Amino acid sequence: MQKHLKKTLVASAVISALSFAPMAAQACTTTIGSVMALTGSLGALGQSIAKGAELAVDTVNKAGGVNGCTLKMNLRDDQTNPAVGVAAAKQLVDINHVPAIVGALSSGVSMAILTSVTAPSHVVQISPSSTSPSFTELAKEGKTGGYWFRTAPSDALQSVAMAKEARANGLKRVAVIYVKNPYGEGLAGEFSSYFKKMGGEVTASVPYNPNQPSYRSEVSSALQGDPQAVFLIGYPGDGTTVAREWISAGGPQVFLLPDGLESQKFVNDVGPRYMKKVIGTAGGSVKTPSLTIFKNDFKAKYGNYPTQAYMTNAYDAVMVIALAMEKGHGTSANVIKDNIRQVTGMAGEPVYAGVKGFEKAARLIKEGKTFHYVGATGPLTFDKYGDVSGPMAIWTVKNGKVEQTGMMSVKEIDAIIKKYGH
Amino acid sequence: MFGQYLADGIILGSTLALGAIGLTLTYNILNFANFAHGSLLTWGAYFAWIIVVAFGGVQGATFGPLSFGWPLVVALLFTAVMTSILAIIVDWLVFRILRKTNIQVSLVIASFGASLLLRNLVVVIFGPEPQYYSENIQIAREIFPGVRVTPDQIFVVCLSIILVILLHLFMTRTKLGKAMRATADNTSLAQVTGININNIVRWTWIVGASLAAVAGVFFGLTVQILPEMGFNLLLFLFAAAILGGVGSIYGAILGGMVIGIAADLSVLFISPAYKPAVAFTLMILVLLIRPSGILGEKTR
Amino acid sequence: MIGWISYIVFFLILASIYAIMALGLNLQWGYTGLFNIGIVGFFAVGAYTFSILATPDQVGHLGGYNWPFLLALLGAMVMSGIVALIVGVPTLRLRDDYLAIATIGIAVSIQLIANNLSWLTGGPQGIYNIPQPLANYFSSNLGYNLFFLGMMMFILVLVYVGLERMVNSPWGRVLMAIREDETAAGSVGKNAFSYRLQSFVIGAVLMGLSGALYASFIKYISPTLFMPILTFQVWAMLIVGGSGSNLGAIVGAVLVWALWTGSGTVVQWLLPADIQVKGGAIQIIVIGLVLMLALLFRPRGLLGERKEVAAEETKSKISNIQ
Repeated sequence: MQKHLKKTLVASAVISALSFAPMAAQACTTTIGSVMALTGSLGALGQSIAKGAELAVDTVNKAGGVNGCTLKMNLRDDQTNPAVGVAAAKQLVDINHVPAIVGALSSGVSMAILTSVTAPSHVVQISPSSTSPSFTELAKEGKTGGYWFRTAPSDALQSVAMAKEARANGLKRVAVIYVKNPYGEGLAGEFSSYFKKMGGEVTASVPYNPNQPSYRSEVSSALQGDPQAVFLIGYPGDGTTVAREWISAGGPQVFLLPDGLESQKFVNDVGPRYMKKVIGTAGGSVKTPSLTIFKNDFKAKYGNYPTQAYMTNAYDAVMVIALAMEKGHGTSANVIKDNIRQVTGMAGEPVYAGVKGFEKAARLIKEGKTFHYVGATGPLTFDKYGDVSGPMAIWTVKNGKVEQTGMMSVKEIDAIIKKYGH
Repeated sequence: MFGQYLADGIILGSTLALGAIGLTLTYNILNFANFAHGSLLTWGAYFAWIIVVAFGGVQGATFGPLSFGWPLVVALLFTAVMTSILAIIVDWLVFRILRKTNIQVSLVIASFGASLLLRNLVVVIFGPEPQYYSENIQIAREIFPGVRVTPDQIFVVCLSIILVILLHLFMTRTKLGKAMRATADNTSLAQVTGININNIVRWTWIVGASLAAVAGVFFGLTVQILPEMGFNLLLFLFAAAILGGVGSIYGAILGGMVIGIAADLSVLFISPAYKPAVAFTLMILVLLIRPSGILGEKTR
Repeated sequence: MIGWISYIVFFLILASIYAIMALGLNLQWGYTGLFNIGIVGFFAVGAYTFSILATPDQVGHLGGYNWPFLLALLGAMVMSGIVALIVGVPTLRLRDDYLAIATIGIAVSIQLIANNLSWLTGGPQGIYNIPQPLANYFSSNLGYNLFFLGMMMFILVLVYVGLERMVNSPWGRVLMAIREDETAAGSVGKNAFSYRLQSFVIGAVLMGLSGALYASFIKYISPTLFMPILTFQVWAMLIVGGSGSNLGAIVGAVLVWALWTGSGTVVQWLLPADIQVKGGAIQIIVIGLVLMLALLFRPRGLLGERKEVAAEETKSKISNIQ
């Protein structure tokens, strides 16, 4: 027994020595952390989103780094599991001393990290894709300490835009199929309430569990009530299965798709020829050059550009952190927190994405001029709860390609929210 | 709607049945719940996908109204062989050694470790995105009033039936099949009568893995190919195998059908969000009435 | 250095939360031979019960009872026990491996209820604002975590000593007798079913306790946590540590949790930057590999050798195949 215990202790010491070996220190490096789902149910989405974030790190370094130092991102997998995500975030904060964490993807993991790691340790956390309203509630209660931000638009903004576009396209009867998570539930609820107020009818609202072998019966029940279109809320993967089964079951080939499904891979897998009409929404703007810069840089680094949700949001999250550090001439969490709103919003000169954008921002900072970053997702304005508001882009599928066709400004959306109240 | 849900259930049920047969065989003859069985389905689907892609997709000549042609048939044979080899390798490296220790639970946990490894190997090699054998989606046709199915779905159900009949003949008419059944019933007795147990173990894996591979291909054909697909199906497979009675091939078929149909029909009564719970509730209810499953033999 | 201490404290808190679950499982499996793979279900019941009882006023789900910490902890344990009783009465009569699948089915169903019964659990949004005991008395995060770790150690020792006494009492000897040979134990007048049920319920109560402590420490729970993978983490802990040994359960919890969370650092460290996105999958491959190697080299676990392991009961039919 004694002997075994000793062996065990030695083994555990070896394992811990292996596991917690810190990154080799380099001269003048600033490290930020990232916790994302690279495996598990959001794994397929997460690997591309992580690439978006890494592209931003590259961009910053090509533009001379942050405060003259190389920017590094320590990327961890949360396996789409809150307990693992929390442990990874805590390692980043305590051992790698990161001042900011980009992540997580699912609201369940982001919230666990926020309440147990970043908020108590006073570390900035920016999620590119967590849309649960609970974050706003928590911020209102002062429990995020102002360290929480997100670059994904809230469900309310998007559902207003979608409801309006659907009505504008003459749709009256729509079935909603949504993934049963904070994102799907929030968006489905908000959409239904606005769509009804605008004179539409939601013929069926069917939730689905992620990771199920088949969704035929969900599709069959959503088809009852003879809808003209389906508002499908989910992610590529399960969402693709639902869409294919919808088409296969003879559902109308008119799709309303949110940002989660703004994905070329999704459209290819479903087959553009089966999508007679697509009305899509996503946070973003067609009127700025940032998105094009992002796309070109992405192609240059990775060889191809898979249009997919939240890659731009992750890119912007990293850019905003880097700009805030540059602006505040520091790398601490408080510098980032206090300067994020100084580099976003609408004041001063616009600065776009890409190497040139970051260089321009650095120059303007030296000259003491104000500017605001216009991200790949469009102009970003963070409110006091860390929520972002920005325009919504309207997209569709043209000749088999996902393409943005129009946009809805913040003013327009606000007007609609006021008109129909909430 | 009843007819449509029933048809949906039968289609899922026939895939589940094939997967459950393999599970029930390994469960019974090797005597442990193999959590890596789902990974065999996944690998089966991907092995076939390699062949289909090598042939330039299944777009070429297709069989009548079906979405695929010869490449998929070749792929089915190829994947059966490859998945069997994979299963035998895993058995040789891990399970064979653990069997000697006589600790059943170590086998179960090791199989879970193997399933983690195999599943993520797929992610590393093939990527995390879903894949498809064909980009064409078949539009379902009405075969009965209110019941719409696709030609591929009918093919899957028919081929499942044929495979089950072949398996029945194999188990009852061939020497090997009889030896496998004898081993499942009583290992020590089978050994005394001169049956080569190692050979039986090998064939158990071959039959189980081949059926899993075919089930994986069927699933890929009617739904999609995904690294997580086997794992997502696994609990349903277990429910099917146990509902039918572990060790009983016919029980596994029945269990697969019952689970598939019940889950889909439940949508008539409760929210589809609870669909997986229906399968398990049903399984537990059946076990309460018949503790060894519908067609299982009393082992206790 | 302070960072390392802070992290190790945090790590040990989570590891000891897992250790309590592993101890509960050890009572069920190691001493009684109950093949429960629905651990996460009881963990969830404990976590949700605690959260509902202890949270201050909240909209969107049942709650707002604002119970004091210890009372809510007790409530969580009682509720897990009740659920275990309801589950155990019908299913403990089943064969071991059937019991296994029945319990995993129940755990999956509990997760579905957590995700879908929004008025009770908050649905996918989960429950936040879960209070921590004495949180106001500490100004620094590390200070509070040190206190929490102290509390965890106290609870862990309490559970450990309690279990050691139980299994070494006449009650525990009956349990092990039933595990080895139920018929023989029954013939000397011991109601095997009742003993199995007692062991099952006590184990589940510990799992519920663990869930409550997790909820309180992380301050937020949501259905994404309560997936079957958690059950397998706990099983891996017990098997690696050594089933049938309470100390083994604790050691196993620390080692496996170190593997699960530490492997990410190693993988990140070794992989070149451009394939880091594959790191997650490679990390899990490493976990699977280490788990299998541990079992191959020590099938009885690190500390499981001295006491006989329960699995003997279900004799592998073809154990002697070469």
